[in-house]
Amino acid sequence: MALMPTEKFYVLTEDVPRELLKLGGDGIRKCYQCGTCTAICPNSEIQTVRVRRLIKKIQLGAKDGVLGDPTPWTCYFCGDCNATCPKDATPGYIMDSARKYQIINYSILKLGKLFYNKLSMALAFIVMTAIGLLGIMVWPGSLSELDLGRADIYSFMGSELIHEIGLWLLAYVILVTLANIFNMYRYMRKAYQGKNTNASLWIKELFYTIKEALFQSRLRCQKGTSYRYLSHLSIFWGFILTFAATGTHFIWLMLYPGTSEPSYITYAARILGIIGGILLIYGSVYYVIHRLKKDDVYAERTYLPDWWFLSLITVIAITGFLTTSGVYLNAPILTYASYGVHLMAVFYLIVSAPFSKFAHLIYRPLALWFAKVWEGEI
Amino acid sequence: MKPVAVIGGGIAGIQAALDLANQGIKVYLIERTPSIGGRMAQLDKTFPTLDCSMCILTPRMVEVARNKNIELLTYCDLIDLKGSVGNFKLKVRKKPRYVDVDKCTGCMVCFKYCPSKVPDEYNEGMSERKAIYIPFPQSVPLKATIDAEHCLWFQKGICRNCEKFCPAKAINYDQKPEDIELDVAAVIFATGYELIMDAEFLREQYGYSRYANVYTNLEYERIVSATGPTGGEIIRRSDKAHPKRIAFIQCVCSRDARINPNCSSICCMASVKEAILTKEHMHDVDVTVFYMDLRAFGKGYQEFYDRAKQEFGIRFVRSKPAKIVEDPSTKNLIVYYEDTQSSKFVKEEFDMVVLAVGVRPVKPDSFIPMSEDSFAQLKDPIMEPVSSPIPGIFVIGMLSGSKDIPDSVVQAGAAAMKASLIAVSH
Repeated sequence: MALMPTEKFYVLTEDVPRELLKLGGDGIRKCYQCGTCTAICPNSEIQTVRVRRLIKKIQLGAKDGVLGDPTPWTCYFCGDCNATCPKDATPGYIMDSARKYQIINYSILKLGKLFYNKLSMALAFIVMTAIGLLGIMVWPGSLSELDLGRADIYSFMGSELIHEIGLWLLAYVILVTLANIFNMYRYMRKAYQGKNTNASLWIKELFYTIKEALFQSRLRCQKGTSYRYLSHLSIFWGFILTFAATGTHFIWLMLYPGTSEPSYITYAARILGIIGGILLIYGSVYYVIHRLKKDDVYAERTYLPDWWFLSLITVIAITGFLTTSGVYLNAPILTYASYGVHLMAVFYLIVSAPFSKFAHLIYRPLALWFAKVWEGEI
Repeated sequence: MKPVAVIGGGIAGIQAALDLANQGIKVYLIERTPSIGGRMAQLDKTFPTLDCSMCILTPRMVEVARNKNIELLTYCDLIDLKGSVGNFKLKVRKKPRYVDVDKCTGCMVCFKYCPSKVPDEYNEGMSERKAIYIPFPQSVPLKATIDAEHCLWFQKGICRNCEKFCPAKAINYDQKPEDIELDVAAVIFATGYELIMDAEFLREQYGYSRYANVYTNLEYERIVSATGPTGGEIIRRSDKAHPKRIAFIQCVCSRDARINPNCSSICCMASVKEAILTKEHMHDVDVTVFYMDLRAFGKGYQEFYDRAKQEFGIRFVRSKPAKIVEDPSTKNLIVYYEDTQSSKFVKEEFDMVVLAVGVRPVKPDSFIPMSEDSFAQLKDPIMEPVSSPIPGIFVIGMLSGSKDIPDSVVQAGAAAMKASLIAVSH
């Protein structure tokens, strides 16, 4: 049969199927390309998704084709494909592993690899722990003024120090993420070769993408307003609110350095933070419970990278709550212990953010955006 | 020289019985339904020659009835099998027909007066027969049978119309099941197949039995057949209209890890044949076959498939549809599929959908060992393709693995040869 006009040639490599198998895409061994997954996918109704075609590209080892395909990011794992697949090839988990594969390969210097393998993950964990502990112990001023009579988190670590570290980490995350996004753009641009679009379409679809990121309506469309949807939304908004709270507090401190007097602004920030914290706890605990019970389609399998992200946000949410409680109850030991764990967990989360599952926060909307703008066959 | 028993009166069993009997060996041909003929009797045409199925089958059925060496035991169940090669003891239960077969002339007068209507198995339940019936007009033996489960006399103690009107006075309500013992040298099992109809996804995904215009391939075979419920006119169940767009979906309940991983091996050519028959019945019809791999492996099959595409203009789409949704107003069917050759997601409307439902063997209780693939176990699939691991027992036709009519006939001959070697030496 003659090649379709849209078909392109890819360089084939064995690495793709081999790596996908490690990431949980073992269904690629079973798939016989019937196309049931594409046809049953609720996203097919909205836009061009290519579940079967992506699986074919993985089977063949078309690396650039796999990395340039936004299909995995259109998937919210409703599980319909897993349920209807006549070969039990679990296309949902193939999409999941493809997302991980893309995160790894978009990351600069392939640093993402560190977070998708037990051994290197343990190593990264040890190194990060050592840096974190050293930081707390050695950094001038830290721990030296620990107030054991009164729960004061600023005696654990000065607010200026926290903010200084925070700024550095922020700069690191932004730079690395931008570099990763650039890689992603390159791959997708290449896959959508020849698709030129004007700026107005980019802007129009940007609004859709932002709306989708804020409310994740596709997840709701697929299975109705489920607890799963609400929990996912809670985690997202929990992050937004806690981040907003931290940001507000930070800006206030910049504007009025040295003031310890609380103002309406700081109260507002605190309330935002508390609401965000509660949302985070609700969402993350929901997912931990279901992933432990394995009682939902997406939760049948949970891999180490999934646990890494999920357990970190759970620990951060719970220790954050305990720290706040400790301060209000004036319980120094509880406060310092949970605050210490909290800070370490935040440190792990931020350092690994551009490479871990956290990165879906940025890749998913971007991939949707690209796919919307360049809509068509790849 | 001892006799041989053949279990199952389909084309495989018929052929095995004839091949043995023509060597001068006595054969007991045991069939559980009132007539021999089996699945082949339900088919309209056969692939790849488009021969009329009945026209090539009935001469052999009649030959069975006429052959002095064949003792035909229809409406009988095998209930016990003991012994070993050369010396098998079979216990066969003759189910009561409540009709004296020596007197019954097959005049069918009784049908007219029987008030009890029953879905007709021969037409896959799409028409009705009476509680006293002959499965189909060419039945061998052409003797009536009373279906006690639906007979008013047996169920409610009323009626007895057939007795009143039978010109031959053949009705006998007092018949009892009768067990007979057979002493045979070898046994050939040819129990055939049934469609896998109990899979939940047939109903859920493809809407079979929920949507009026979704058919199985065997139902469709009856519809295109001149002896079928519509007299060979292709009309929809919902509104009796002629469909303009018909879809055939392959590999339903076969090659499916959830239900049956086997390839049923007959459906590709059966659907190609049915697609061609459709085109021969109606010229203004679009026929689409959804297939994943079209397995045209036999003699003349590839040519048959090529003719379907080139001569008859049948569209073949490489895809397995994911679901079917019915339009409630028109009862048309919207098929969701991805055309895997162009990677396009398509929702296409059809007037009628025919599912090529997979097959499984009819298991002859626990008389023979079955293998993990749900078919009968073979002594050696390469060198002993008709032998069961038990010496003296042979498994042929659909029972030992999906196969079409020519292959079943070949196996029947092979098993007959093997069985005759045993029969002659005992």
